[in-house]
Amino acid sequence: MTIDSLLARRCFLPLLAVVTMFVANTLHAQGTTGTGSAPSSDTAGTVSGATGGAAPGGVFIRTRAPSLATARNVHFDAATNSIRSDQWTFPLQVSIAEVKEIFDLAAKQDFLAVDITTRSDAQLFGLSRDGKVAKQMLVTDLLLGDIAKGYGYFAPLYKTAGDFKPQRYNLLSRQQFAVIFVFTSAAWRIDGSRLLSEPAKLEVLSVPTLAQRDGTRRFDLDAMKREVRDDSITENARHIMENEAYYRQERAVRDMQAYADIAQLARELLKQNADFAGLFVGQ
Amino acid sequence: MTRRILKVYPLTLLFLSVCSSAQHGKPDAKPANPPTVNRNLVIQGLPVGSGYEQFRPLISAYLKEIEASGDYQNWKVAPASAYER
Repeated sequence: MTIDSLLARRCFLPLLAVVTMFVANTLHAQGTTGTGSAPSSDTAGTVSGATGGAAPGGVFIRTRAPSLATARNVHFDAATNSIRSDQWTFPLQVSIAEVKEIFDLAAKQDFLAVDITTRSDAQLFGLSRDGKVAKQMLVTDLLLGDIAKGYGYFAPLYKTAGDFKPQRYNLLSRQQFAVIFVFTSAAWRIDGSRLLSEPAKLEVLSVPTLAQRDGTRRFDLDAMKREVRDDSITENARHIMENEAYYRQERAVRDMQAYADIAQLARELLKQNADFAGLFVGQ
Repeated sequence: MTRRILKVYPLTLLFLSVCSSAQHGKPDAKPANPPTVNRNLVIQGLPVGSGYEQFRPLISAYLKEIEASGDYQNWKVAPASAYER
């Protein structure tokens, strides 16, 4: 079929429009400007390994053990809402119910994660659906994810840092992406008798994904190798990372760091063979 | 001249009176709709807003919690009340 015959059949313009849309979508997904949310192979590899290849387009809390000096006589002190040992006191920023839930899970796995699937359900990776931890993680994902993908569901009510206007993610792009918010602690120190964590910089990763029939997503490893990115998410993610202090003011986001700290402390105490079962007796 | 003024004056008064009563009878301008979330948000034909609405109880409970404690400095307004609108 020649161009002339296409024109003669009056189907050239609609066909051209379809081809143009396809090319635009492809180019949009493969934009390479910006480096803000380039998938970090280290972190993405960790997430992929931890979740069995599932891509949690949500919150991921890494729980590397902090390597503290051996703690003796570890116990929970309800009066000060803290975990204490002979060497230090660790003040808790969240409820004892949340602490217990994290300790229970930390004994089984070295991460916490939630993922809102494309069917508006959630994968919780071992967390209890009714527990406060999963709920706060989901709220964090809903809030930060709304900014990262530029949807604007909360926009009439929520103040972005510097009145930033997020760019809208192309939902119909051939290549789909998940955004992962990674919280962890970089280091620990004892200040006086207080055990304090130093939060690692918030990572906002844009990860190419393959949608599954059940609504979950998996990493698109081929696209990751090619470093395929989405320009809008890259820009929005950079904004969040550059303004993380502002977004950490939000209670749900603040709690993510508290969860990361508690989970890492739990892993450390586990490594030291501390008595988890006895830690919260009577609570 | 006087005659012309006398002729026009009642007409002017009538015109002003009609304008005034029309203005008086006009209902107050509607207050701007108070903000709430983009519940009916549709992007490229996809109902994104309803996707968020599936988590409504979760979001609502969270917003009530931060509003009750006054811990909502990143929000333009008291968020729970606005969300419920």
